[in-house]
Amino acid sequence: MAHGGVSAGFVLPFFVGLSIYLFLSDIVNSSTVLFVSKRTFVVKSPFPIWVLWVSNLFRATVHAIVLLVLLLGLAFLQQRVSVTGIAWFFLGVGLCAVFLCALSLLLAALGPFIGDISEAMRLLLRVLFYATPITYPLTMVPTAFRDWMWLNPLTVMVELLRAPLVFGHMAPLGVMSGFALVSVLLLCLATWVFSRVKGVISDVV
Amino acid sequence: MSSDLLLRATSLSKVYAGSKRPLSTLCHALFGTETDSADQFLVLSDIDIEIRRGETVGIMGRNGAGKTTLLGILGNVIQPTTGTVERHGRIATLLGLTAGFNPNFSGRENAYLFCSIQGIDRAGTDLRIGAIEAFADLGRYFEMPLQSYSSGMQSRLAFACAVHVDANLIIIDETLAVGDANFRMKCYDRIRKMKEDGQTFLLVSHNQNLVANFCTRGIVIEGGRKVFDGTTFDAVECYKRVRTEQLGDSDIAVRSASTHAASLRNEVSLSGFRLLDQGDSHGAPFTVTCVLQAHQDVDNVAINFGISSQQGIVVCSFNGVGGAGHAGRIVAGSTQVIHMKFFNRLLPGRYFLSAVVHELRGDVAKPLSLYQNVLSFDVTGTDEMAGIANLGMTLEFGK
Repeated sequence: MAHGGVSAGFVLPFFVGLSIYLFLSDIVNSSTVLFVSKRTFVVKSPFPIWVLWVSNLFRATVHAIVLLVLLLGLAFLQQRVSVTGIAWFFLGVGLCAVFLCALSLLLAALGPFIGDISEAMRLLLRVLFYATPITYPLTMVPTAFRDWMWLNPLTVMVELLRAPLVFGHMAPLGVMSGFALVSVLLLCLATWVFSRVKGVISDVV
Repeated sequence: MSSDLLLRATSLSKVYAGSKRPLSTLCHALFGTETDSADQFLVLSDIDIEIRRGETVGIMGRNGAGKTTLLGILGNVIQPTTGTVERHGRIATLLGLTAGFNPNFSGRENAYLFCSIQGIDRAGTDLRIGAIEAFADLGRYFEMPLQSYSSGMQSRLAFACAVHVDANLIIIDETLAVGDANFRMKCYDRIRKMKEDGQTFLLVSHNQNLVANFCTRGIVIEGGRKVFDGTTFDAVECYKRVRTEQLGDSDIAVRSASTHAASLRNEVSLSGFRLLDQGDSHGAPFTVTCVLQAHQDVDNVAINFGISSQQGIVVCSFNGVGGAGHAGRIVAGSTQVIHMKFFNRLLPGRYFLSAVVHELRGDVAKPLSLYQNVLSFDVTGTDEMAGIANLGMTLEFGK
């Protein structure tokens, strides 16, 4: 893969994209059915259901940490790690974590009310995999469509991690700040939705 | 607030949206939009309940009456649509066999989980776990995953956990119904002992004898409304009426149980209940007479009689639908005198006679009229024996 004239091979850029895609898939697939799959806790027990969401995040985070360790190990092996690159990388990880937390809470809150949402999400994730520069670099996308690619949050997350870890520089500042703003707004929205629907989730699961 | 008040529910109502329209529930929760009233069903309506320390309250009602939803609301599991619930102290809720349990966890791990949900930390559970294990008596299954348990074993674990968390109020929804007889006896002994120690229980059961024996107060729920709240005896009688569909929609209102006769369809009625013979000695015949009167032609009439104790326990019931109680076809305006005879093997106390007139159509018995506690009589005797029936017990001593 080439980025700004720098050749980076294929494995590390691909593995960065794949790792964040796997984490997103895990979060999306588990969150949509979270309360339905834990029905006895939701409808039969005085259990604070937000704990289910937190425990699901912890579970997914353990998987993500394994991917992160593999990713950093691969980067060290390829001698592509710099101090600034690592700093920007972890900033990107932090932004992705906020976005994925918000997405997880929103999907967990909406999942019980929308029939077949998990099937729809599986399809969407399949489409996202091909519509995101995971197996190809963003530079390969025709210029006319490249700006549109930034509307895909998975593209943003991939580039937030790929740029510092593979190429040693930060992702475009506008993209980073825009994504941070979107993540915070999404977190606010998810918190509001969850606070409104948590009392009636037991009515529909 | 009175210091012994543990739970007070005021004007509780619960409306569920139809299962086909969960999105309307979502919109209502998010934006407060009105949902289609045709797509809603009222599960509970305007229920007021107070539970005080030391009470054992039994809730009875037919399937779908709203008992479990009510317990869910009282136990802080389900949110009421309207109304408020005040809770004071720790409330242990058993709404199902696996409520709050993880099927992949062992019995021991689930006990820790249950205690943590009840607000007990690990050190506190460490102190209790031995007693829970001993009471559940699951043997090596206590270390095996819950998914390998039978329903009876799940019931053992659930009950063992519930009675060891030092809850101020224990709410149990039919959890004991699936246990084996020995374990149920053990549970009932435990409930009795805890009651003596001042423990408060809220039980849901279809078992009238359980409510009559264990509860200090009975509540009957029908059609989402509280139709009775009072003594267990009257609650059991009210529940019997509810079961036989005596209460039509217009009848549903909070009321005290009464012993007057009432008719369902007035096609056939019984009247003139009288006790003819009342032998005082053990085994002496009792005869009760009444008059069967037809107001319309009915093809096949059968009559059931039953005698129950003051605690609401059915001592003996005669199932006329089974064959021996068939009066056959009766025509409008005709009357028949009925004699119901039995032998006095009852121990001292007051007993009540009830009767139901059925019309038989094929294998279906349709109740025409119901006479709940239409006649009461006292049996006198010595205090040599206690209970309901005199089985002629004697003691013999020999060398």
